[in-house]
Amino acid sequence: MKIAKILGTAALVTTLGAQAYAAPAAKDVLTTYADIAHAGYEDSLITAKELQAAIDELVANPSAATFDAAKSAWLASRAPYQQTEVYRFGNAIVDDWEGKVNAWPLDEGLIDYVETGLYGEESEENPAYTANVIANPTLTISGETLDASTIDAALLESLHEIDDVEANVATGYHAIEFLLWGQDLHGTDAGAGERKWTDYASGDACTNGNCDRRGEYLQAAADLMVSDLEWMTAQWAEGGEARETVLEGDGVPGLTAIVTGMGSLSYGELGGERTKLGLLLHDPEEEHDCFSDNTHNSHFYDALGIQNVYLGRYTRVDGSVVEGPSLSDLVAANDAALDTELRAKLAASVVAGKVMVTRAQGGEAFDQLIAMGNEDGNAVVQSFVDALVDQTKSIEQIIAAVGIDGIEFEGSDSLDNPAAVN
Amino acid sequence: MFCKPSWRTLLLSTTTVLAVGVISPDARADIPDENYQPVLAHLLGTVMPPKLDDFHAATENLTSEFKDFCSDPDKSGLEGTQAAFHAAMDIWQEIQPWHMGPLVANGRDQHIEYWPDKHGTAARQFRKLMFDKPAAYTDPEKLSGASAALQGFPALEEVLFADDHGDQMVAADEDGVFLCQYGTAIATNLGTLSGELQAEWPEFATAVENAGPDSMDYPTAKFAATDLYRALHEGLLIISSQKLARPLGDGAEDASAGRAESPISERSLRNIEHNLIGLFAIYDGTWGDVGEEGKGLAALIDNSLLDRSFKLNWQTVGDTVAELPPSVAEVLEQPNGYTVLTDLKGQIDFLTTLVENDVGGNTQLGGGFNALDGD
Repeated sequence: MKIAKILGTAALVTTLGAQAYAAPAAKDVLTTYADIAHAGYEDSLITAKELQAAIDELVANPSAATFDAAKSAWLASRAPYQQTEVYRFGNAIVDDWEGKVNAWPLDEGLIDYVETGLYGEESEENPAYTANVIANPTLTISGETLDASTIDAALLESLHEIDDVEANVATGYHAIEFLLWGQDLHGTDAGAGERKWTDYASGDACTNGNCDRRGEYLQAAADLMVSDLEWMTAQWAEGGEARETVLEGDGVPGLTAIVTGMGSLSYGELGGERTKLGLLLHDPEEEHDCFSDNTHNSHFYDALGIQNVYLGRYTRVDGSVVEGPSLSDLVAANDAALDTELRAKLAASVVAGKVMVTRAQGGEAFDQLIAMGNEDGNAVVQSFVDALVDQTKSIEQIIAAVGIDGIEFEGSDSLDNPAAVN
Repeated sequence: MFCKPSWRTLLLSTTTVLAVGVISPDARADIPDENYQPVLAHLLGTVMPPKLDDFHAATENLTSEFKDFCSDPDKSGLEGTQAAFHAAMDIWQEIQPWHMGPLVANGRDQHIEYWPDKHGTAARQFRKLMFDKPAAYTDPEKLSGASAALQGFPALEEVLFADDHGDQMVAADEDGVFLCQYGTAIATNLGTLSGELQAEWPEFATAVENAGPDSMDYPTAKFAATDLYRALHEGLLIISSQKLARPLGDGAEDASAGRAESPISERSLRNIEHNLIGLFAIYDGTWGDVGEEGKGLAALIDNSLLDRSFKLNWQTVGDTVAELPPSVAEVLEQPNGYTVLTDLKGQIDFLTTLVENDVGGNTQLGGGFNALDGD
């Protein structure tokens, strides 16, 4: 888990006094920011509870229908959560926590059976690469024996990032995703994971063994995720630590958090690690929602989340809208041209993300789009990257426009492309 | 065993002197934007182009050596090709930290060298490649559209230095023939990439030199010069946090030379030595026999004591690296090897602090992106 670095002490400068027209107070902008965070995490919690209920139903009454319902609930749960990712960078309380719910990529062999022909049988970096908790009530990892006879939240938490290997992801959305879809063995061809509902069936109908333990794991992971999201929702409620933190002081730390989150997610994380890297390597292993082939949606909602916090407007899962004074208003008061430019660029990123969604809905998922030789698909993904890089350049200019300083955004090894900003 | 005086003794003694002469950056007037323009013109227009010429020539030579070797494989030809690899890699490591413009456009730097490989992608893709041996990977043009992990220097290193690949190529068995063709394609593609870089640089340099309100990318010369500062700063961060911290791990027991850069060709520290040459050019304005002293970012620093001290500190670190063997593996084999590398990392971190405080502060550059990690 990383957090963007704040290089120096941010200092509010006097540019706020030279505004073209009345700007909102920083506190009001930050209140909107916190309100949207609270609504986003609460929506994530609501949809996670629906997923939890669907999983309980699947385990109690395994069938193709209950299995599909659980998968649908997982897909629905991603939309609000991904819109909260913009809060991760810049807010330490979120960044320190988020690995429990959205860590990625994962060595799924820790959790359940895998096709070793594709996945391999061992990893120099990860002693638990094929530990397969579901199949093994007793585990030996790096010479230490672990009692996994009871699969519950405590066990999953103890396995998470075990041996200090970040790829040992035992909890959160992607662990659940793997347990619902299984490995995507199609490479860059069409198709997601094809786990059968019978992996949760009883008695002789059970496929791949240990269906009861697999169900226990799935339920424990869902319970834990609900618990984790309850905690984070509370942090953004009135009196919550996250809300109090962004609202404290003269407003500069809070505004810094907003800009850091927007820039770091745009540039290093979403543009770089999650998108450009996949394109460079043409490798489906670099896909964020790699089991379900839902990456297009996750990327789209990430981009939408960035736009939400800038515009100070979020549409909740029930259709209601949370809105208020925004960073956009503040920037416009200081530099109307920059605000216009950034609004346009944020919209362009959302549109570029939507193009990927449309392609996926037409049968060409993200892993196909990044395939070697798919020049048209590659171009679609590159357009998304370019739009994110482009908007980051403008986000950077907010720093001067509203009088905050010393922000360093997260970057990526795979991305630093000024030439794309044209 | 390497017995050296503490780097802190060497470095802090110079900065203690420094403290007297430093004027707080906050007390300075803004540096006029036009002051940044000569620095941009010198570094991007004068210093870099000859180095890109050198890089292109080195990759062309590498291709030529590879073709000669594969036309009649023998041990001598293999060694000649390995030497050509090292020569090309030396100049690449000097250029690598200039992380801007055509160097990073379309992921070009990643195609030249995909590292670090956090998810083990190269090994996984290479295993599959050797199993399938697809003809496309022996065609340089098609290879250019392949995974970045399967083209560029790390892939070539795998072909030339790993396991029995050299012997297989000399023996010209089935794997060896494919490796020869694949290696030649990689070298040819590197020649293409370096040629593109060489060709595209002048236009980029001109655009940066003409920074101003009419430029979409560089509205001010200071904004453009920030890229140079970032390159200097991030270059040091990358040496510390990736090239040294990765092999050092969480402690001596966890150290692994396999996590270093260029581990198979055993040149991980040689890479750092060359990184420092390229990075120093950004500060000083000289790069080997190219450029002119004091025309880099140093030109913006109106403090000769600080300048002398910075150069002395840099020289100390450069000397330290130059005295070490070329690979992390060789150092770690020594009884005090872990400490030696930890000290080197400390020296690099100290240089980074100097860049942040002295160079960043006195040139009024800094902030922006960090070209380092995500998840």
